[in-house]
Amino acid sequence: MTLEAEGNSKVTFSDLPVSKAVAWVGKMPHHSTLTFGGELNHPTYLDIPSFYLIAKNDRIIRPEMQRSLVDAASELRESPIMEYDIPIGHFPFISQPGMVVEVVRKVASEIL
Amino acid sequence: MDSLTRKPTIVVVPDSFSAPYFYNTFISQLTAHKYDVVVADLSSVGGKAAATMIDDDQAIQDVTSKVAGESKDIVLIMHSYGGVPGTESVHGVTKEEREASGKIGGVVALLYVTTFLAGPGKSLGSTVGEGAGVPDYVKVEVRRAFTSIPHIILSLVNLDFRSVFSLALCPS
Repeated sequence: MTLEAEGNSKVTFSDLPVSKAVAWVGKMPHHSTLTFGGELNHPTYLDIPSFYLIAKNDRIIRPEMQRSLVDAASELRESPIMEYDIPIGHFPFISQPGMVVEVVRKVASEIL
Repeated sequence: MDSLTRKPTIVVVPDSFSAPYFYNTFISQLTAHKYDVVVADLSSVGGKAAATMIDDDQAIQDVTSKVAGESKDIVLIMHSYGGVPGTESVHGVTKEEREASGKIGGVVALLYVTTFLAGPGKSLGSTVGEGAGVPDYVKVEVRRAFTSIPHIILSLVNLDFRSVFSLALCPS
């Protein structure tokens, strides 16, 4: 699969300036289509502490869908997956790396 | 936990279409907080067009097994698509499983970052198919090498990709 640059830049990097968003999508390699059909055989989030960063401004996986996926997984567990709601888009590792770092630090302190 | 720093090693599983270096700024900020960080290099990104989720699962497990082999605890961070092979890869590498066989270190926690959190037996395709529209910026190309293998075409169709992506036959 490949991604059409203009449409992709508006969703994947919706929280970056347009020029930066376009530059980043231009760097995205192709991706093997088959992977999206691979089924999960080991839902390991049922077995170990799990956390989910909900990207509230994500335009690819909408926050409502993120929450419904977390809720569904939490129902299968003894305790719910802990959620962090952050106002970020789909690729915060580039657009808001500091916000993700703070969540990582919180997770690390939770599991001490 | 590393006995000196009490900090887990962070292993990052990239999104689809995403090279490891996309995470460099994030990694340098974590490193400034004294975390060791390793990024998995997914087989499906920029490599073989026929790479599968299991190929990615193995690429991730190669990384986590190596880090765990150094007696380190691991927090696995998974981004978007990376949540599917990332979740799968943890099987056999959790700290609890490793300790049961007398080993030290392993995966202690999972952090999903805006991820397609697939249910048991579900794929990204079947997870998306239940709740999302058609992203018209995704172009699925079926190359000539694929068209000579009809069962792969059939499997793509069976995965309900037509409802998710526009499936276009590419003559080249």
